[in-house]
Amino acid sequence: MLAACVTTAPPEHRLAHPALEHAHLAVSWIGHATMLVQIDDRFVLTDPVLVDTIGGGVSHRKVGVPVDPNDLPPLDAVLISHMHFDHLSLDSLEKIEPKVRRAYMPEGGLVYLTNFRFDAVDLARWETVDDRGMQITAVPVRHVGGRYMLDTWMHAFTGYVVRYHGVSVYFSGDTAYARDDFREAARRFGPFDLALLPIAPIHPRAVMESVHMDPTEALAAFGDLGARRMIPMHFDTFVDSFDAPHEARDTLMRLVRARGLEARVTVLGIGERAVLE
Amino acid sequence: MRVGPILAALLLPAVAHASAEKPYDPHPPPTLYWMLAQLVPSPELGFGGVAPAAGLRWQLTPLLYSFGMYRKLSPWRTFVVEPLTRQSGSVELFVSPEYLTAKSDEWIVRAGVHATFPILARGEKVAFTIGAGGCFGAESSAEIEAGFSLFFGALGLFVSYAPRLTLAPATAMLRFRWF
Repeated sequence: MLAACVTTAPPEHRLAHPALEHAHLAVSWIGHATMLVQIDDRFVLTDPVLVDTIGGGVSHRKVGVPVDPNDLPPLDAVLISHMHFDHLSLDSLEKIEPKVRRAYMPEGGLVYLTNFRFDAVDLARWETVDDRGMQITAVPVRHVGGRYMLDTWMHAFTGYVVRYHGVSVYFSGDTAYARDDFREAARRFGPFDLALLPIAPIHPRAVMESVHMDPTEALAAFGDLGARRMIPMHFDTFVDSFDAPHEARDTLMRLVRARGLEARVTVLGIGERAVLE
Repeated sequence: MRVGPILAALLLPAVAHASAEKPYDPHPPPTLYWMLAQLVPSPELGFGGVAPAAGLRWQLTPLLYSFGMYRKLSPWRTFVVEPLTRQSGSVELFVSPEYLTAKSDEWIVRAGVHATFPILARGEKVAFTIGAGGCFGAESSAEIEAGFSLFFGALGLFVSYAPRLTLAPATAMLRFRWF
């Protein structure tokens, strides 16, 4: 198995206390597309993957999980962007099940969830749910649905916009570059305080281009969204491409420096936190 | 003549189950890919007969009730069953056409009930299945089955025992199943 060929390095940073007492907007990167977003007293976890292997052991983490699931705060919302094994991890959901108040899934996605104790809803594109003052909206992106290859009828993939206490956060999940979708999301819900955008896998580009943004496209999406800040994700966590080690991160940082965006693009390490406001 | 009302009675709960919150809940369609996947047989070996036997088995699910899927969705499926809907916990009627060959060749049909229980990762990694039913062909027999399946049910090892099936009362099957 591939899993046997990869060793998991310990994370450079550990999130011993993921919840901050006073933070208007803070983000911790747990790896891949798993982000813990704190907006005042609310906690949102995106695409939770808190295990070392996914897909029945086929893909292995390169860097370990930086947080003990027991240390996570009560989660007001868990956002699942789509059904692929690196985004919907049933093992991981089991680890945090008692902490989850509600999970949000793209339309049709509930059939992949199984009967967890927490509440779960699926959202159609542009559908908004108001959860005690926090609005969560499913926004269109460009990717693929399904989980088991033959479920070609399934188109359960989405991005999300989370708005609470005047803060607006955009989380794309996996997406190819989709200018019209990004601009429409910005027109409806912008300006965003923060965009969480994927920057990998890059190669092979002919295959990835239709489903994944590379760093250049991610910065273009950042511009289309009109967001004030960007934090990249979906890189350096799993073996999932032909990318060289740190290629996506290094490419993004080079582009960021060349364009003078250092103050607006924050590249986190796995387990690292940014307090943005 | 009575099949229609019986089927209607079986399927009515699927309609009645519609949630107040109305999640998106269509029954999965029988696509061309799904149909092709159903043609892939599972190889098996037979034991305990007059000679070692080999065979191929196909699997159909006329009706399944999932007790492991998310509670807002209809738990009923006919023929097309998503892997997790089965693996997370389910009871199903099964029909398995089977070709067995030893000193003679024989087509038989196994039919009965399977119950599947999740073991690891909600059944997506490992699930256990137990079942009972009958074999029908030139010979008929009651039978019992049990097995483990991995990788969302795509790969499994199943054994069955049908004491009156003289060609191969016991079988071990490497089950390939995709939906």
